[in-house]
Amino acid sequence: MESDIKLIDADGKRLDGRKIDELRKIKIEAGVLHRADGSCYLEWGGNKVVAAVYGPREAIPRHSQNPLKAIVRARYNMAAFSVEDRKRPGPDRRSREISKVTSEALEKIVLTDKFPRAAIDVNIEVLEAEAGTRCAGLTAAGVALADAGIPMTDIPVACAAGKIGSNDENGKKTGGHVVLDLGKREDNFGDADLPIAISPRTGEIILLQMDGHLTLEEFDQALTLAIKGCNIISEIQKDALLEKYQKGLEVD
Amino acid sequence: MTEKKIVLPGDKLSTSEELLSGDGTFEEDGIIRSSQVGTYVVDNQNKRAKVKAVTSMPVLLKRGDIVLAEVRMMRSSMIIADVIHVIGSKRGISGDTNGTLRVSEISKGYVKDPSDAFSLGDIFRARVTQVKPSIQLETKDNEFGVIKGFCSKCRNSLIKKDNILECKNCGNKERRLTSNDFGTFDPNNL
Repeated sequence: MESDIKLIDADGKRLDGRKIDELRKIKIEAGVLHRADGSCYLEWGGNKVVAAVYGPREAIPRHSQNPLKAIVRARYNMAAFSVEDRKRPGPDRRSREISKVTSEALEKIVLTDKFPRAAIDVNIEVLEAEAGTRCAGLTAAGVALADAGIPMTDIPVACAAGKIGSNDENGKKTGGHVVLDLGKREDNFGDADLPIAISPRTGEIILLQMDGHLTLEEFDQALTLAIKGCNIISEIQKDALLEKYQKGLEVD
Repeated sequence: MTEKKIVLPGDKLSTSEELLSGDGTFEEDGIIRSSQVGTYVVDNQNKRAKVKAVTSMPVLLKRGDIVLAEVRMMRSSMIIADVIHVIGSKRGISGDTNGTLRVSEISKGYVKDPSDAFSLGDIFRARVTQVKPSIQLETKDNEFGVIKGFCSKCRNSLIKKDNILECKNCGNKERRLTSNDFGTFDPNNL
């Protein structure tokens, strides 16, 4: 059975050759869409995500408006061709949940009180998926928001940690390893996944979900690891924004 | 020329003892931080820390903005219009867009009834004279007025002939307060 797959070897090397605390390759580009107010393209291992920001604009329907602050409406969507078997297009339970938690995470860091009655639309489109798309989407959304000139207290960033390898190839129980940034097979056959999003400046956690079981010690370990990952990705985000806008300044 | 450094959201700029928090910044625990991607500027006259954005910015209406608006409602003493675009900006408007144009603000001369100058659905150019508590518009100049009008009988667009507007479909003649570039305005070239 494939669930008996060996996710981590004796040297602590994972299936794709990464170490326990190693991230997949990340590439971020800001401002890729012309019609959007702000946008970002992100590649994270096998994930390919585009985020587009529109607004602040009048919130419709009007009953969704808040007279004191803007609302942030994130929409996470997976393309039909983003996974191996065709995904039935349209919102489903999973994508609605992810949309909700990312909206709430982003609302925490946007200075929403500057735009009463408005809505800030964040569209996250997953073009290719390989585990950890909610983290990739939120990370891309953070850059897209900054690119749209929306006032924020920080650039949000997300990363996951998890636990793998508590079943060895003979199906015997072992201790397992807490690892950073689960890949697709690690996510499918691993024991736990802990995606988090933080505001890297303050370290405030703006999203935390957990799938699977972790002991209290493992949880603490995974959380520390994920925060470490977030801080690394945060630097990549900043470089992407500087790359785009520093150039324009040197010209004049 | 010295290379300017870009600040990112959350970067520390100054303290509240030193400066006041201006555009593109926010204050948190006595520290002024950037809320935008931009360059840090100190306004020494007003002692304000500001961030001049390098990204595109959300568009908020200001007094003096030249705007395009669409007539939504006609009253005996005023017109209610939806502001749809700010000239010179590339983004939609953030915030309230419901503007009013009073009869007295339509023209330098006397206008008895707003329906002599505008009709429902017309697109016109105007200047913003007030933003708070409500958006007020004026059209007292040659460049202001209707830039695209629609026939009140068949809703086809009107064409300017001498000083009167004529519907190209039904030949209905109408009167409007037209701007000096009526009919030549290209919405693709905003």
